[in-house]
Amino acid sequence: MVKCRSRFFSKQLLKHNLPFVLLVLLVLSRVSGFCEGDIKACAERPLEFNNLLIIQKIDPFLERIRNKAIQRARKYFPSPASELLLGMTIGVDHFKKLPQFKEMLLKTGTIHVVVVSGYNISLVYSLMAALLGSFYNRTKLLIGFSVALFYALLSGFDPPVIRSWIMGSIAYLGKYYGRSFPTLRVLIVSGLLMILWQPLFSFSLSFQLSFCATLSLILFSDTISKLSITSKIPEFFREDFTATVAAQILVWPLISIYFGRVSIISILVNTLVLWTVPVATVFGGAFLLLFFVGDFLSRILAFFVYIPLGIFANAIELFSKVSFAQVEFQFSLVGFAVYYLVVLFMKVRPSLFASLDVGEIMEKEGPIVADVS
Amino acid sequence: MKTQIIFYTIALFIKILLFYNQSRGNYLEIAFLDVGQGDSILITTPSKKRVLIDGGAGFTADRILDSYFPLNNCHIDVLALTHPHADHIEGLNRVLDHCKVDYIVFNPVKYDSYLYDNWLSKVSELGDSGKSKVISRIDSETLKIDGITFHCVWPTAEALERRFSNINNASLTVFLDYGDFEAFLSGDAETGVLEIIKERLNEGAFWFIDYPLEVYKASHHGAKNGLVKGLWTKLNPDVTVISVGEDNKFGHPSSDVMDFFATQKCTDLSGLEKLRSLFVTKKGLVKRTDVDGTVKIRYNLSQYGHN
Repeated sequence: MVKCRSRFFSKQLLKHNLPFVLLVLLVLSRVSGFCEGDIKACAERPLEFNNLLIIQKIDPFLERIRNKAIQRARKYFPSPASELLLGMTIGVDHFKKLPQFKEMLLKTGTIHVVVVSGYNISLVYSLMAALLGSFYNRTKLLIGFSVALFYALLSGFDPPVIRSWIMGSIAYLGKYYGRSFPTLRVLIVSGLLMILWQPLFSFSLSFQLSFCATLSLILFSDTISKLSITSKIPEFFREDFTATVAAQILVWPLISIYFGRVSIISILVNTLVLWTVPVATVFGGAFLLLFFVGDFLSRILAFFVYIPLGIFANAIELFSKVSFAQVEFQFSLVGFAVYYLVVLFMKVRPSLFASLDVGEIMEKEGPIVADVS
Repeated sequence: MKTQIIFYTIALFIKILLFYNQSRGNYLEIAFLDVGQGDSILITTPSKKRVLIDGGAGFTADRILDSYFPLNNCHIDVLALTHPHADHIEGLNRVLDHCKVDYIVFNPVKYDSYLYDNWLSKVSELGDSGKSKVISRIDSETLKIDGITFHCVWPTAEALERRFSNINNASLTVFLDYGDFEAFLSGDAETGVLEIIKERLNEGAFWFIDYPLEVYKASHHGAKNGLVKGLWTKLNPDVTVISVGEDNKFGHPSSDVMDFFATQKCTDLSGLEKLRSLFVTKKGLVKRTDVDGTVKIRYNLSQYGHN
């Protein structure tokens, strides 16, 4: 029995886990070398990419595009619709100008929708696939990668976007070679590669939230969708409910540990309002791109984008007035570790390593990929 | 997709209902918007003309204005800047970005700041293109809109000739007059200016004021240097509003000012005779935007109330 098990583990280790273990060891040595043993000081260092040549070269150009978009959004939309639109489409965060509304977003657990996430990158890939036909051609594949990279840079090159760009690139590269990779592996490898490149990622809250939300979605979406309570949710809201609950399983302890408070109406609010986000992102993005359209037509188009943004903003204001919207709760580090271990232990099964389609998950993760910047 | 269209249509319908609701009721409303630390006052006339005085810091004033214009149809008839400090001007810059503004009123005092430069360039662009009419000097003048008179009592022409060492004292200060209803709005004017106003008041220069006053905006967010007790006592307002941000770094409102207001409560009940609204409670009421949120005072020639 022991021999049999030992052979099984050796096989698994060699076939699946050895490269992982080596990569993890490499990452650990990279982080420890980078931080020179002082993890605390390392965690306080800002994560910046200004030294990247590509950013230095194209940043003035990107800045011009961002400013044009900001001007256009502010001309045709009131606050907070303009800030929501800019956050959802190009990752511009001007919520410091709306401190009360930002507080409402935090209270209702919806701050994650106003940043560019993996959903946006998957939209860009889908758009490119629709325009180019398919990615089964090296030139088209390279064009797809480049456009998605350009968008990732335009939207601030934040950790969720970088992670999503790497995951998307691996998925489409896989498709090009006729291979399908297990999503979990792609996520973990993407995360490890990012930390290998820039160890400070491991201390970035936005990276941690994005990574945990995606991991949580991969692990728990199916389980949540099979719960009896899920089948009672109206079909229109069901997908958002499943995604919100699944993502929250690994995300809420992080929020608790960083902010000392947890939104308890987050699942309800997200379930009710998330449907407006893709509508606002797609129509809003198209509106910003149509800068050459005259003033009169722009006002008409803006009105249709304003409606979903307005619904979102009004719903957030309404729900934030609920007195029990959030509770003060901070995980201790030990409690945090125990929670993660228990949850992950309950989930660990061989089926975990079953092959999944990355593109499918990219679409699923949509607006759930969390970020608090 | 079908359900999304249904939700979309319902939302549109609600917006139209809100729009319809906004255009009802013949009353004057003065709303002290809860913009955090800063000032922003929206005055709505009985025929729904809008006068916006200051915009607070950040974009919160614009966010609150959105509830007055639920169809993304922002239209401000008169937009006034009292003085160019960030907690008064920044929100106005944002409003100018997308609202249709008929008149822009301000005194072009000398002051160096990025936000003020931004304001001047936007105002000049709007003025040059003919989209807005710019009144770029206002001293001791009277503006009338929809039966409501704004008597500008500060800065005077002589004061404007000088460069203000303290830009708070350049604050546009007005008495609003509508029938028996009067309000005193003084931006961030400090004691020096308020003393001058008190003296001129005692000299009878402001003949248009019927005492006691209905609404008094505490100058400079309730700071100690924003209160002249003699002026407040003389005006004897029914409601005093302090526009102030929660836990602000300046310590506004001052505890001395709050203590003074507390001791003045219910000292004179004669004014209550005309308070026939359900909302008004007692004389000497003090409202704070950090505690009460946006403070709205409504008056329809025979009664007024606040919430």
